[in-house]
Amino acid sequence: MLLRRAALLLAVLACGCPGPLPVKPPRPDAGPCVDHAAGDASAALEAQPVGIDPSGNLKVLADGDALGLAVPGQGGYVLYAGVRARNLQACGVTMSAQLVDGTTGQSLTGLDQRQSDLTTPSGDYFLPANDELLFALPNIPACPDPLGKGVQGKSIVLQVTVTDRTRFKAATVRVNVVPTCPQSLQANCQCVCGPNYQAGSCP
Amino acid sequence: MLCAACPGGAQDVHLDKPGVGFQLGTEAFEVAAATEVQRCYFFRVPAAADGGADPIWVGRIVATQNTGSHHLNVFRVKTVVNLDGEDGAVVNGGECWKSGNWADWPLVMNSQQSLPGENVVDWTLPAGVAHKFMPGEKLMLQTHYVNASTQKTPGRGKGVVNFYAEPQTSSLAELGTVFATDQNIKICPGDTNKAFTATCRFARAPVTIIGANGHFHSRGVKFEIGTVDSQNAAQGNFYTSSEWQDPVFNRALNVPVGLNGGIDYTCTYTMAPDACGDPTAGKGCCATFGGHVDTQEHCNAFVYYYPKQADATCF
Repeated sequence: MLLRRAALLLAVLACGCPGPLPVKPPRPDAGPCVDHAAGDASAALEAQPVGIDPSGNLKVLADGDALGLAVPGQGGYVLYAGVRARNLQACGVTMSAQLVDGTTGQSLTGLDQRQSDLTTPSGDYFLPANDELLFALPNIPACPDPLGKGVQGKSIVLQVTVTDRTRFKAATVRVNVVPTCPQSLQANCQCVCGPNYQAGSCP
Repeated sequence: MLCAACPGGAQDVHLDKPGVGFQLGTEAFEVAAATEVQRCYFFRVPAAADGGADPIWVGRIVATQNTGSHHLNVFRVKTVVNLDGEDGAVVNGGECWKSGNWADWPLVMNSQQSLPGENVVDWTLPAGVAHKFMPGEKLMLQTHYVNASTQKTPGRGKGVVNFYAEPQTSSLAELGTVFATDQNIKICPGDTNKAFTATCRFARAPVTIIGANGHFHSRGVKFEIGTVDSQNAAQGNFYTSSEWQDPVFNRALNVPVGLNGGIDYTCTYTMAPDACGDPTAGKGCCATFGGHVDTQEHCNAFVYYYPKQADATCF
């Protein structure tokens, strides 16, 4: 509990944001990655939101960008989104992401938190390796949504908190995104990811 | 009568049918060395004893399995993709392996207990709480046996589940279930305490969690389930297990969940540097999401609560 509070406090201090994502303490010893600084270790952690768009391409997200609702192996729809970051230890970075209502601040999706190694340069920032993206970026559980809120087509705030393995650096980024169904699954996706979904009711 | 090794069967489990209620079960089947067998059995809930169309309310569930079972899950059949069958049909392997086929099928119950002496789950729900079934409703029982390097089946595969109906059906709170799975996980040789956390919020009204268990494979070192509030903020764990083969099924819980809250679940994995999960090209010996115990990994949470809200599956 103390560690979690410390992480939250650090996140607030690092980014000056009004409310960081809830985040569990990162595990200290994950991954065979050989640790090194990604950027300037003495500088403050900086991060930019990234995500996979409806065409399957990774992009740095700007306000209003579409974020692709994708079907993973078990079913349902997830959003792949996280950050590219710099000035942190590259290995065992923890990313935690969810979507929230921009007006009320209410969470609209589940939250996904996982560990990543930011070892690949991306401009002046660092990303997970390209073939690791689906494993390394948070898989935000978007739908079906047992609370029946529905996110498809809405302008919603993506919140991502990134914490490096030292736990002394953290930041939270936010950007407005529009969860968007894939062309090939429009009917099913709009139903499963729409409001008041019920199991077995979608085409 | 509960038997773990009854006469007439080669170490095959047996349950007498409930006096009131219904039974689902498999026949005994071979699990050859170096194989994993996954079979999906389809059933229709029988009519109540009086032949009426009223719901059947189940207050006690008993499940037993031959040793070697990796899991036994029962789902309610909803959207049919490529897996289906009428009452009595069995799908052996093939589409029964493809989890997208039951993506929106709500969980009824699960058991992972199959070690000798521990292979009976006998669960009487709290007073006033019951599982609701409709006569004719289609259910799917999935059994997974492993006789490979990480898990052994010494005899044959078999599973049986009894659903005991409540004589008194008024003023019952319906049992609800949550099936949550974290996908696109990847654990590689040398990974130590690599963790994946996800949340699943389902409480359209305040509920009480009464049972839970977690499911992963041999690289799993800790499975934790806790509650979250309406903002996905962790409120504390109520379930921890370090057992992957026969993880504890905690059936004595009394955990409140507030409005719009739910659960979070964390799977933590370690893989020895010289171990190999999936040796196929491109996997680099890493274990990724999938049902095959020897080569893949899972991170699934099963939670039981009341009163039931909407069917809850989270991906």
